[in-house]
Amino acid sequence: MKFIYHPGLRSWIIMLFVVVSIGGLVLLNSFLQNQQRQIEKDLAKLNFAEELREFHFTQPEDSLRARQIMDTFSQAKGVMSFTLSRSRMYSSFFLLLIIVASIVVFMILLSRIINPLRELQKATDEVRRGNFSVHLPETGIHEIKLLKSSFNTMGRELEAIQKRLLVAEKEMIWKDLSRVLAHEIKNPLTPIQLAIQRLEERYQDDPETVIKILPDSIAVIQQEIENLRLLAQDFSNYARVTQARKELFDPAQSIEEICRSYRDNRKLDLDLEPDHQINFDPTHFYQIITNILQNAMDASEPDKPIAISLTHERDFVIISIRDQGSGIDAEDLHRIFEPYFSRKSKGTGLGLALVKKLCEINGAIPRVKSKLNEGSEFILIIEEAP
Amino acid sequence: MLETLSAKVMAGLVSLSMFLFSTYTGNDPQLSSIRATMGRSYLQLNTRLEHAFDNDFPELFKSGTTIPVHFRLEIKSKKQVHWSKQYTNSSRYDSSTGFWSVSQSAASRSVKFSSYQQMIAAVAELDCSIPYESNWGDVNVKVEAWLPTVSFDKMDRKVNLMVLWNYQRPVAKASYNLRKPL
Repeated sequence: MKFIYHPGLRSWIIMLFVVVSIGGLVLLNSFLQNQQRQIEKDLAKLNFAEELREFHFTQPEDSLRARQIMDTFSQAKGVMSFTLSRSRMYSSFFLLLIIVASIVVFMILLSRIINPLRELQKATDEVRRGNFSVHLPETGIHEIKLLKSSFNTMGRELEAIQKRLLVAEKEMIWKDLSRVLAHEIKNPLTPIQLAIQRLEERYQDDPETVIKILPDSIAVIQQEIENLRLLAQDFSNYARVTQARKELFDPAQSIEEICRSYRDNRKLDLDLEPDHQINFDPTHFYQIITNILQNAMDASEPDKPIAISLTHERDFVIISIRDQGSGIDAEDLHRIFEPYFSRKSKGTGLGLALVKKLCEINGAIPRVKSKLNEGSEFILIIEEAP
Repeated sequence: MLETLSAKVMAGLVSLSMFLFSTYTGNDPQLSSIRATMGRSYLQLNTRLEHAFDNDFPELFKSGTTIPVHFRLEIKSKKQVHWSKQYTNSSRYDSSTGFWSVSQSAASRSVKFSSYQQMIAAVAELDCSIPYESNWGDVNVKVEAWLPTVSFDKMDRKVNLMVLWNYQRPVAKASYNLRKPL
């Protein structure tokens, strides 16, 4: 595995500190040390006392005076030499102390900047996960305090917005649900009502012949009651799905079996690679395939074939169901997996929502491609069992 | 104890800082192994300072001020200190004659040198006779050397010469059984 190091803010600041601050001090120290060494060399060349000793003084007081001058000069030279040596030693010693102290101070300051930034990063992650109640203690240096305060305010505002959005969303869902339910219940109720009215009118006008239209009317009523039952079942199915009972099976075989019952009425082109295994809830798989297949049949003319293929790519099984129907408007494409969204004259809008939900709990990915008036392709990406 | 520890820490820090940031080396004084010879009633001990005056000292030794070098000799067995004494070698330069006068308190003598190297050899040496008793038995001998703070009266300055030794106090140790001949 190739490891690429991306230096963060802290690394850049440390590098800058080392190069500019410590590097500068070391250079300055080196310059001063060189100067001191040069002075030492120059000092060693001053042999004034030796030169003065060569003089022969005739007067004893001159000799005494010369001796005093030599002593003073020698002491001055000795003290200067010592002071230079000491300053060379102490400059490096104090440089070490300054570097250690500045590193300590720098690391403390850096931690007071970096640690709150890390806290902010963690808090931002929490917000990204949807936890808007995260609160940061407003401590640290002034700018960091301001930043944390702004973050906390943003969190509170986001939380309030989220609550308002949840309320609005719930309201919208209930409105949509009420509309769909009213529409779907009203549809079967009208034929039922008409059948009963017909029976009632006939019974009032000609009671003898009621028996003639009775079977037809009962059939209509029974059919529409069945439709109502299916509608209730759809809602019930969608609400009930919570977990998958996964099993290993060959998806090609399962698709073959599902398509068998549809083949009498529709032309289905199957191209299924055999011998792949998936770990999936078989009931959910059946529901997903039948829902997509039913949609494909609803969207296309009866004479247009529906192509179903099963291939594999790396560790994934790819199932494609392609129709040559009316297609889906690009604007609607991102909404088709939403509950209660439907452009069909019949339907609850729960079919594809159920497909998405079942895919999610089985770890599959549903995809859709569509072109208006050319058709749609639903793709399922399922991990192949090892 | 605390003073010794702080001196060692200081010496370590100074050495580290000079190693990192300076071409200045100072001196790294060490005492040679103690040589001992046994007389009838005297123990003759000898050691010398090595690498103690390699750098920075010539101008100080030529300054005309007396430069002392102190030694402390300690002889002790497990529980008892039998001998503890401080000896001092010192050197003073006479600028009018160009000679160094070296005195060695251990040998109670004073010698004059015209050569700097000879003067350094004399100042660096500790050679002393200790009256001993054989019942001291197994003894540990320890010699420690250090430099004092010296006053330059004409300059009105005091300087701590230990700076030039990087605050290191060289120590030499040896163990002897005085019941047997060495």
